[in-house]
Amino acid sequence: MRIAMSIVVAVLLVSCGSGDDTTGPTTGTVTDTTVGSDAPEANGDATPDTAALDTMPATTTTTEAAAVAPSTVESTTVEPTTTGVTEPEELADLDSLATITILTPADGNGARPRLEWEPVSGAAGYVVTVSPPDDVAYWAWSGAEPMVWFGGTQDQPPDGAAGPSLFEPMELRVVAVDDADRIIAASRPLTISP
Amino acid sequence: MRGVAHWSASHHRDRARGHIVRLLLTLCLVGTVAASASTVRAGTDEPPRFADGSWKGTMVWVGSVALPSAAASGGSDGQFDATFAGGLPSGSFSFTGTGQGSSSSVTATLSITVHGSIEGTAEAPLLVGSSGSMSGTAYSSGIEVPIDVPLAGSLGSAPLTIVHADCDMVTGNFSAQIDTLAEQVGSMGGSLDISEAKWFAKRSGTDGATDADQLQVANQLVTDGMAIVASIELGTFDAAALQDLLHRSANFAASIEHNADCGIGDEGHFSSVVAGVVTDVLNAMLDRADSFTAAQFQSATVAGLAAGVLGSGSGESGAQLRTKLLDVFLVKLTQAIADGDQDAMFAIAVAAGALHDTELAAQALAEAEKV
Repeated sequence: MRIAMSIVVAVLLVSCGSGDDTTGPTTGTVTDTTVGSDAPEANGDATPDTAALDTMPATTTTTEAAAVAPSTVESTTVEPTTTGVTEPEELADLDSLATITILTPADGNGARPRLEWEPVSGAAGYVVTVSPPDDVAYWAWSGAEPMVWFGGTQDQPPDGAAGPSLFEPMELRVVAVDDADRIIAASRPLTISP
Repeated sequence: MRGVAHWSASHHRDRARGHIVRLLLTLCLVGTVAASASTVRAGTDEPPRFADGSWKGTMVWVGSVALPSAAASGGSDGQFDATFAGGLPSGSFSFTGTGQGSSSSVTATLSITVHGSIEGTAEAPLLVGSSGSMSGTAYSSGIEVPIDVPLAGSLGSAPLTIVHADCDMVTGNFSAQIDTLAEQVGSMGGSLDISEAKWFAKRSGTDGATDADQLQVANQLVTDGMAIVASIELGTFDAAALQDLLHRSANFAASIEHNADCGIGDEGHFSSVVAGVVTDVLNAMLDRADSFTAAQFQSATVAGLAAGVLGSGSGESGAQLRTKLLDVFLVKLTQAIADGDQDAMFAIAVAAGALHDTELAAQALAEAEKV
């Protein structure tokens, strides 16, 4: 389903970017990830939260938008294929970024969990976002350390302290930035529960 | 704070008569609100308000005063007392604030003391002044110029506008109060321009000393946050300073005991001591969006989420900020595409994803992959 939705988005983008409704020539391009036969789960529903980047596709192709005919568009929005045109859904889908492995367990975290991930070589800092499913992020943090307690402290907060809390399952994402504040690595989302 | 104010004749003795002194005024006012303990349910889309209970607060003014001749000096102290019960405040307050400043030939400090009561409602509390004074000493070319300005009669009321509130912390501003003071100074032949006016309150604990220490920390955090806003208004975004402010604010929150049953907001709703200034950071950047990069807006978005002013629990005010930010990110993406700026595209993807604009995030990712 997510693949289908992403294809819809991709097609819409192609249409918008072309400046032409359906059949005219276009100067726009769609850069897509071609998913190998052993990798569909990486973009599918089966493992969206825990798949490591090393399961991500390794090849990339570029397709001229004009080559996507309307009839093809309609069919691909309905039936995703492992070799069809898809858009990256996460930063972690991009080959140009390194992988961040989240160390925080998925379950049993309590209301103020310790969020932790493998340090990234060359990283000067990290940005963490925590989002309820299908919603605006609930809380975020940025800092130099490869860990933070939920709420933004480096030390474990006392029980019953003020601040944000993990009151329901939420998706944890981490990106790493270099000393020029450029994003150099990203994690896949991990759903963490109290 | 309306009322009659009279400058004493002493300040006219200054040899620099007629010279206008620009005086940087920083007033740090610490207050306490005592209250009883019933609760009223409020969702995050409802106006922010004080929950019943005991509260302690701190206020920060930053601005400038122009006085006809002279400079001034004085001390500073403050207290703020009131009672909230059943959603209604009552009680009294008093505060003294002090500002200092200098020009090439003049230095000055000015103290303002006001006493009054807390009235209004939990959503819109009012400071109602009953008495006060402005005092200090001016030095110009080595000449001391005492200043003594009694604030006689009714001083009027000043709303404490609430910007963000949860069970543990409430933040806001009091610009209307400053306007009234400006009128008073204007009636004296001078002028008062308050660029920032913030207050913060925390639910008080059983240890008054701890409360006092926490308020001192809070005051510094708000003051530092206002400095960041001022820099942004000049076109400079200091990401490291903002990040440091948020880290210190998180530590501050961890020092406060959470009151889970006050009836403010939905589950997980939270605020921050710097919620007000982070809101100002975002608005200041939005007002001059061309001056800041996509990465800087991404950092500001993270700050907004960290401070609880932008996230899923931030209510209508957060939703409005989100919409404005996404409009900016869309423009930034267009520019990034034109420039082939992959770093900007990454930043936009992160921010748009956090703001749950999946279409914009997908577009940024798709464009980034092309570069």
